Amino acid sequence: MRWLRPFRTLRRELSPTTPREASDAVVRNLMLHAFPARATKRALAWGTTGWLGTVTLGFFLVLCATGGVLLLLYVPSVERAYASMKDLESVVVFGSWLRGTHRAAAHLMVVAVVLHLVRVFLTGAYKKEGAPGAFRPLNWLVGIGLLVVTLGLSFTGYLLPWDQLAYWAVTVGTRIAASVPLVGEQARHLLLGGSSIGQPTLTRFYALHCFVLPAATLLLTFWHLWRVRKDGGLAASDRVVDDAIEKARHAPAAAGKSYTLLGTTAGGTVSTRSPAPLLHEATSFAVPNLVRRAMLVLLATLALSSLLGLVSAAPLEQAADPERTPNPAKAPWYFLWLQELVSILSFEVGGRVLDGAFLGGIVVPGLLLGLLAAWPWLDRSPREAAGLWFHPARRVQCRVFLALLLVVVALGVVGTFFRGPYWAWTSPFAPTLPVPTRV
Amino acid sequence: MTHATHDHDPHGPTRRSLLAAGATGCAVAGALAHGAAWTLSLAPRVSYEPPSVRRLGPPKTFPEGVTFLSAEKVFVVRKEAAFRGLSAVCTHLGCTVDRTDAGFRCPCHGSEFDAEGVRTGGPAPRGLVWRAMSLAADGTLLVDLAGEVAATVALTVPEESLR
Repeated sequence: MRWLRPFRTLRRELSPTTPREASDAVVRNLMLHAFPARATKRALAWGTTGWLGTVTLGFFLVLCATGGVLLLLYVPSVERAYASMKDLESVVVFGSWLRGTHRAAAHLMVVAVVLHLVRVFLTGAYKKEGAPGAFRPLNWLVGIGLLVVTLGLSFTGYLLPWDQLAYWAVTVGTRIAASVPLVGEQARHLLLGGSSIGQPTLTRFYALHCFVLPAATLLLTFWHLWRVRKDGGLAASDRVVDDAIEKARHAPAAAGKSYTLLGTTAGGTVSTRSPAPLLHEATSFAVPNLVRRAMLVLLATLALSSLLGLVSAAPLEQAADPERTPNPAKAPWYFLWLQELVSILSFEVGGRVLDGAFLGGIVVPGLLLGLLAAWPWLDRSPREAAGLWFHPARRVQCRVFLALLLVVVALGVVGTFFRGPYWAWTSPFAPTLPVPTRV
Repeated sequence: MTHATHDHDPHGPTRRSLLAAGATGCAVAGALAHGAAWTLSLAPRVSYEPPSVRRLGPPKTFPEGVTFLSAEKVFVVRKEAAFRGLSAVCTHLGCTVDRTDAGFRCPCHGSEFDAEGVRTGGPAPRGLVWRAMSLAADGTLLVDLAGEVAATVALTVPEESLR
């Protein structure tokens, strides 16, 4: 069976029987080429990273696959977009599941990308000091870029159904852009493709959601993964290498050869203290150990989003109605902390009101992102603090980070559960929301 | 093959460095031109949006007091023959305000205004905007959704248009 040969080759590459086959696999196979020949056992352990980066990538792949099908079923027109969503929900075979899976994967990707950022921060894996030639802060910046692009994909994504949520989210979102002094109005005009929401707006957000932002995500992801290799793998692996070198220094010198003059003058005798055997013990072949785990993680993300898509259908509000604002008009949960901020950050100073839209929608999120981006240069902890959870030398900054995160989460909780009609205080335990009647 | 010999000032540009600089310049200029063209192409020069001056109907169809026109997002305030137009677009982030007993209130972020559109609370940076009203030649009430007038500016329509 000649045509089966590529599959046999692939199977052999994925299940090598000899070290030679294992190290050959990463060179022979295009996809496996992304992996190193060997990885530290610590990097492979589930608890070191939680595999959260791979999880995020998994959800992104699910989104690309389901999005590719949705692309063929959705009509990006203000007259027909909502009707195509209705078709998807009630007419298209498995349409509701497709959409549910896409939505579940989107929400889970936001969760995963944030948890990944939290993990990298709490383990100090962004630190400047690493292996020779490594510069992890650059990859930290790429990661922040990926976080922003992910949120952009979410925002443009929930606009496309052209329901009430979509319409009023564009209204509020583009007004936040317009609150920037000097260039704001032009930015809003550029986003809307005019002075009011219409077909040009939908076309622009459609292009952003289906081409510009996914392309940016892919490119940044490739760069992100490539940087991990350039930086010598995970920061946790640096500690394994350090340990091996330290142990080798104190171990009795093994009889061996030194090929350099320095080797003989420094040691006095012709001997070596190489960490190589210790390192060999602390690592294992990437194929199959790393590849198999990565594939398992990807499979788990597919399974989780598919099942969630099955049990929780994606909501669809009433068709976009420019004449009627829902009360309350709430953003999706991951933007509710921002909605809370733009609502509470208006201050009266000397008879003038500082606009909460600009403070809460632009300044505060911008400052938070800037602080995140600058953090590797503010972190003065020693290099040993990289790659370990809550290293004592980083205890204070981990607490500051978690406190800031807690504030964001708390604002989101307030926005989700404690805000009712007219964004007034309410209780999640109130039997029914008191919706005031319009005069 | 031998390299090109320098038969001129060895510190000056060689043919190769000159061509390289020229090609780089062309690439930068091309990228800038394309970037500018793409950005400018996204700013529409023709608007297919409805004009900002809208026809609201004969003045006599508006009852005394406040009438909400949802399509224009404007409250028509009539006091006998005097007409004023108050924008229903919240000055905070653009949601449509509801009319309440105390005045107006925004469902999105809770901004509050009194019956004259003056800000009384919430995140809105300023009060609601008053729009200029006028009468068309055929006696139809018009509102301009683009401009802004003082709260005191009212359109007094002639007696016969109210009959």
